[in-house]
Amino acid sequence: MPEQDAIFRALADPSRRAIFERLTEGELGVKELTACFAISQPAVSQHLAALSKAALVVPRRAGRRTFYRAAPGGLRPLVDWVARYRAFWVERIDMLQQLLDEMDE
Amino acid sequence: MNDNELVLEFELSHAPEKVWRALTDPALVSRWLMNTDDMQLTVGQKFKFRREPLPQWDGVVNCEILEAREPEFLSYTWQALGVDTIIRWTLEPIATGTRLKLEQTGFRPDQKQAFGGARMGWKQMAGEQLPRVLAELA
Repeated sequence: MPEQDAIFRALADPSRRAIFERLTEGELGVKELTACFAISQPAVSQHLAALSKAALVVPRRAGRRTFYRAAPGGLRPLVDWVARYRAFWVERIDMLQQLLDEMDE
Repeated sequence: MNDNELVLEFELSHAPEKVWRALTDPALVSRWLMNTDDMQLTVGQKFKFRREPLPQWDGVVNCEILEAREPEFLSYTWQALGVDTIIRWTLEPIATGTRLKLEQTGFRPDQKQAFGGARMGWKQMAGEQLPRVLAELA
C-alpha cells in the first residue's frame, strides 16, 4: 500500500521517529523541538515537513509561530485490522471447541 | 476474498444444534467469545460484547442481529474501535460434526474512525511492525 510506504519512509529516519514520538505526547513548536534534540532548527523543520507530507503531523498557526502535533489517524493505514481479527477469531474458536467438549448434549 | 474481508472455516466435532447454542446463548457465548448479557435472536435486536477497557477503547463491541436461521445461519453487525463490520456464521452438518464458516466483512482502509489516537498507535507500532519493516526498508 502506497500509504503505508509513505509512513514507513517518513519514520525510517531515527530523528524523525523521535520527533514524531515526542509529538504524540503533545503539541510543540519548532523551537521547543529543536531544544529537545541535538539537531539544528532547519533540520527539525525539514523533518516536520516530511512528517507533514506523510500526514503524520498536523500544523497549527498561532500568530507567527507554528505548532505541530501528531495526527490522530496518522498511523491508521498501518493497522491491519483483518490480520488482527483473523488471529482473534482463531483463538476464540479454539475456546469454542473446548467449551463444546465440556457442554452436555 | 479481498483485503477488506476475512473468511475462516473450522471443523468442529459437535452437531450444528449444539454449536448453534454455543453461538447464541449469552451465558455460553460469554465463555468463549466475549462477555454479553443481552444477546437475543430477534432481528434488529441490539446487544453488546464487553471486555476490560483499555486506555483508548472502552472495550465495548456494539452489535445488532441481522439474521438468525436456526441452526444454520446467524448474522450480526460488529462495531468496535477501528471497525464497522458484519459477522456471518454458517453452520453445515458434516460426518464429523459441523463445518463452521465465519465471514467478517466491511473492513475499510479509508475508515473515518481514528485508531485510538496517535499515542496508542505509536506504542503498538513501535513494538511490533515498525522495527521489522524498517529493517526491510534499509
